[in-house]
Amino acid sequence: MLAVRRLTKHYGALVAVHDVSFEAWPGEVLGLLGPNGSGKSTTVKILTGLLRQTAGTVQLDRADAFADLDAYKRIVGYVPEEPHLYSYLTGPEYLRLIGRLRGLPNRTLDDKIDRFLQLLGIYDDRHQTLASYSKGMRQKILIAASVLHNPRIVILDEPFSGLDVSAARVLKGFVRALADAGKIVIFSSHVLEVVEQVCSRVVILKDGRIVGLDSVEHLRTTLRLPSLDAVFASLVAEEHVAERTSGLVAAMQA
Amino acid sequence: MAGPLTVLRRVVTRPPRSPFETLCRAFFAQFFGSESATSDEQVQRAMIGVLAFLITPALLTPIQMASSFEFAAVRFPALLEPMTRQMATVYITYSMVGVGVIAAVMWDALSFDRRDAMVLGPLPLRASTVIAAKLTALAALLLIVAFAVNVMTAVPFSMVAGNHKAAIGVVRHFLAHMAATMTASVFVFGLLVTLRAMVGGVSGRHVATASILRFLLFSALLCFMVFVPMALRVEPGGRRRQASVQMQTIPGWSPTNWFLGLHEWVRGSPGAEWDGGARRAIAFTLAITASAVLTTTAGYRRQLQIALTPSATDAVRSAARLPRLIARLVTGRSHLARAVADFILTTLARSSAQQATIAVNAALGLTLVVASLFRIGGDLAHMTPPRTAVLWIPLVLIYTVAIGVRAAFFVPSELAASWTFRFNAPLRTTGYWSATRAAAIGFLVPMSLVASALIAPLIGIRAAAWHAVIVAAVAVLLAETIALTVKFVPFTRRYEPGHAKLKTRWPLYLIGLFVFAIWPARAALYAGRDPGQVLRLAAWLLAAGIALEVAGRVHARSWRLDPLEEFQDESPIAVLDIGIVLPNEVGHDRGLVGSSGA
Repeated sequence: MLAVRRLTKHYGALVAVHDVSFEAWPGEVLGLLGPNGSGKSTTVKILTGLLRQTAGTVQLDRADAFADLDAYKRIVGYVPEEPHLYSYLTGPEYLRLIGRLRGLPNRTLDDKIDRFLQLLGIYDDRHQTLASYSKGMRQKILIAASVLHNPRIVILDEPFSGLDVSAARVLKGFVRALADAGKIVIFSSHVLEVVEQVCSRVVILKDGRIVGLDSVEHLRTTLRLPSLDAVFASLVAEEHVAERTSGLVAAMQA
Repeated sequence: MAGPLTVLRRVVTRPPRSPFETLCRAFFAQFFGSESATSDEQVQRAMIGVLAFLITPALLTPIQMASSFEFAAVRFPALLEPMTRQMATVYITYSMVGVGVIAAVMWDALSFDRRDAMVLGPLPLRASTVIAAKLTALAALLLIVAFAVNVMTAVPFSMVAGNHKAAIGVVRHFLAHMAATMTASVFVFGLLVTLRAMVGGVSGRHVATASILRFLLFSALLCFMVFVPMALRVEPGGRRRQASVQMQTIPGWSPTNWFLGLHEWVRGSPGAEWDGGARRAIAFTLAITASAVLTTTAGYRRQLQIALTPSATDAVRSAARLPRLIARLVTGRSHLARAVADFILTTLARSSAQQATIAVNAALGLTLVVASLFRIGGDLAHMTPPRTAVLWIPLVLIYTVAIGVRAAFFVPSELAASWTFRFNAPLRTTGYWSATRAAAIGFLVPMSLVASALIAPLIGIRAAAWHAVIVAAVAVLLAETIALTVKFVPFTRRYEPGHAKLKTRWPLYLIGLFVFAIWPARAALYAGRDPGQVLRLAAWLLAAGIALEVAGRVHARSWRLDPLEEFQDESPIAVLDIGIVLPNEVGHDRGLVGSSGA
């Protein structure tokens, strides 16, 4: 079990995450929801070990996860929000770099890379550099890189960004299959429909604080709202939506 | 009444009035932007440094020549005209090389690329507006650079050389100098813009082409600076010897002679040969300018096509096979070290910023070699028996390339992607040192063999092969030394301007030249004469290798990756500042920056 306890992160005077606590269990997909600037990406980066928290702890199986950061990172897979890759490498070259950094043996690695490329539909582009890949193709490379080493924890930050409908359907199934295989999956996204379909429980963040933490069904029942979209709107209290919408139209026409 | 600087500031800072003006400014700003540096201010500072480096010697040379001209005017009046032409030739060459170097530095921005097409293609802008804006920005850059480079020589030289023909002579000389040097600058700039557009449109190997061009142009510039003092030398006589004037001759086929013809034609020098040269200068410059306009126009349309059909780009071939093979032998079985070494060598093979750094340093090595050969007279008969000035050629080339490789390690490559290492690799491991050392060995050793082959025609294949062994051993020592002075995965840190501390550390580089080039060359020379010295040399190289290896293994413990926090909230790479001005919340103006991921 991955437990986040009273996590806080300051960037100078800005409080990005404040006193956030939740748990993620093996076999479940935990959704992280929130508007822009709510602290989702900061929380995700802390969970990956890429960012140090100002206060609070992250525990894995009741022990400090970051006590041995290298050991923790060995069991985590991560798809970042921005597809920053070395654009002068080809897809297989990039995956081989990741696999070797993680100590995978060459024969297993090459076999895995070929299978991932074929299953993700980018095998024919294996000799092209990532500079010529579309956003969706880069996203597929990132997804393959995140699970190449068969991690115990998978952290996905907007993983379906740029993917076409059929690839997104396959990957939704893949995310659920990861959970079924007993992995801890944390899924951060803006797309509420996808979160509703994929996640067992959701953490809703606003201004760096948790405003909702429960299963999607329970949140809907408790708040007597028909969908996660309505729950989200209710909890993050999006104010003056109609005025802002008409303001945007007016600004466009000015 | 406002002064000229105030007027200029108003023109530069006022909001653009049309899409054409907006694009012109954006394209002009691209010349001074770099994805490797932390900020545009650093790039601008670096460009000012390059200009100062170019302008200072040009400004000082006419002043140094003043006494020689005075001396010639008194003692050898008949030599004044040939001396003037000689120096005009020097300044024309300087103008061509100087503008060429600046164009090579700004190589990527000389034409459109795929990202320009992707940003500008969807906007409701006519292709003619975009192309005209690019050409205007290029013309503005050319005028500013060429004027800055040439006026600095024109003013003092016209005063020195025209001093004997009253004020009208000075003015005429100034006009001739500016006409010839500016036309020469336009010729070279147009040639490079044409090349850039053609390479960007038809070849997938434009990174390598740019690096070779940079190497050639920097070599030309540095060699030029070495040769200038030797081009014209006036030695006053004394009691025991006569005064003499020594002048180098310029081959007739050189384009410099066309522009010298223009120079003499504007000065009103008699002679039909000047008219012919002037005509050729004007005709070739017009032709090359037209080709620059045409290829730039075609380049934009080609980039639009490439942007829309990404799969049509050439597939990459496996990069740096031999260096990677050598690096694998050095790293042993460590997967991590092999991965990092492969990454380093692939980056060196495919990244323009890294290759440019190595090219500039290699150019410095070539200049040292050319200067030393020039010193011994450049006579092949003098070079055939092995001597230090010949044996050091591959050593000095490898030494300067090694300095370039080390400098390239500090230049970031796609910094935003460096999370790849921070997330997937351990923070501390000796594997990083092992990989960097192996990559440096893999890069330098094949190069040392090629450099040694260069002197085979002079000293024979057998001697060159023996020397290649020594050069390869020195390359390994250099690689070990490089790995001792780095403690992070190359290309994954922000570039820190001035980290080389050349102002204070130049003696170290000089000592390095002795240790890695001059002394091994002398030792190789003695070993060639006395076989007993071979064992001694081998023992020295082995001892140095063991010492560096031990020091490296100790140093390897301090290697680490940077924590991500330093890279947090990094903005995506700016592609094209399209300069749309919008009021922000507090009422100030700010520009919108078009951006894309890496």
